Amino acid sequence: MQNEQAIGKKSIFKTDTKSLIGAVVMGIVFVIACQITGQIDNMLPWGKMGMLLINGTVWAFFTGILTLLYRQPGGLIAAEVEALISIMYTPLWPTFIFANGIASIWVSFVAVKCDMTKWSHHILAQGGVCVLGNAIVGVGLVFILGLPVGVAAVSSLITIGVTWPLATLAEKKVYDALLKSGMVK
Amino acid sequence: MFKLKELDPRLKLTWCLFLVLTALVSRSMLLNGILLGVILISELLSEKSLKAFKMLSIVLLIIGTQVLIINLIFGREGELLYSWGIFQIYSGFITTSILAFLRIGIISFSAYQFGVHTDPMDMAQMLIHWRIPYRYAMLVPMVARFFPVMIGEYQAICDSQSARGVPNDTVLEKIRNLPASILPLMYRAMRISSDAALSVELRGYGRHATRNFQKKINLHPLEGMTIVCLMIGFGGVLIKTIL
Repeated sequence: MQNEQAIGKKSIFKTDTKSLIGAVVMGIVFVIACQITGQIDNMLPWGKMGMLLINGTVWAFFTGILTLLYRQPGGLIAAEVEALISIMYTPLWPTFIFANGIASIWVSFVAVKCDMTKWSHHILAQGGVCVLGNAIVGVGLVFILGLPVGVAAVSSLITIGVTWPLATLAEKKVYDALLKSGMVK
Repeated sequence: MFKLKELDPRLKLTWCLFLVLTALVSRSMLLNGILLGVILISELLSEKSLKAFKMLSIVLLIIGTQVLIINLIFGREGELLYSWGIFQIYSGFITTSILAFLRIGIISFSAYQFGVHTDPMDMAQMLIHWRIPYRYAMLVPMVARFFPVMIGEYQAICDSQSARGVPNDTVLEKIRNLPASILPLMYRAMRISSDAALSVELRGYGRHATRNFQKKINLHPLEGMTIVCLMIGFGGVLIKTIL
């Protein structure tokens, strides 16, 4: 690719066309995955109480892995594609714009400081994604859906507690496989 | 009669943001009700039907019901109406739920209206007007272009899994089959994006600093004035809420 501008191993940025278009297409996959898991969650008891645990895990996993794969602005583009398409199925979309953006930037920040080969690096990356993302969505639960603060706080804490370990596990396994296949250098 | 599709995307975006921010800031049920009514009337005037909102309305009704039940059980605003052990019902749950329902209606319908009635190419041009390089601005039409493609790919994967006899009826089976449907979709997405990137680069994507469009967007003075009025209107709502 003529416009390839991936600069060095530790750079946050990767602005070649393949990364940009890849981020867009993977952003759509991200939306589809969130839709499917959202439907699965809604069939389960916790989904009926408004806690989307499987959906939250898939959201955190995709936010992390796409940022590691496409860096910035690809990670941000993929995350924002998901947030903007979520207009079609949730009124919480304004919070998703901020949650997805901040989570993606956090993963980039961790990826620049750490080489993402150890479990601790992925725990740190996913910790930020889950805590920041769910905190912002928690604010949305109060201000948009009008839920009591206590209910929103408990819901967010349970979601963080479940999604953090599961998304870390998935991200580490997939990232190691991507490293082995040579898709991530 | 006006057509929402023919309006400038900047006006439509300002209108959408005005509605969303006003709904978030205001706690007046009357104002929220009026705004929701204006959205529905504008849709009726432009499209002669509310068919576009049908699916979203069902989703919002489900979410609204969940909000109502949660507020009924956990809401502690207003006076105590009924008590049975730890289960207590306070009078404030109705007001909170109605306000939340109006708010989610405005936030969802306004954004959906903007998305449905704005051409992706117009959105790209709007971003280019805001000095965003066209390599990034053109990603908006690409989302619109690839969305049905990827839905089709996902459907094809599901069909092929069904043909192999993979059970996908219960929730547990759906969870178990999740990697079997998502991972091939990711693989196909990578292949499609590589092909598309190579294809657009060979056609000169990103070679020049600017690009031409067949239809250009132009902000009419009346539309510009409406944008200013909406900003002033939101300022008024903000000041009234703070005071």
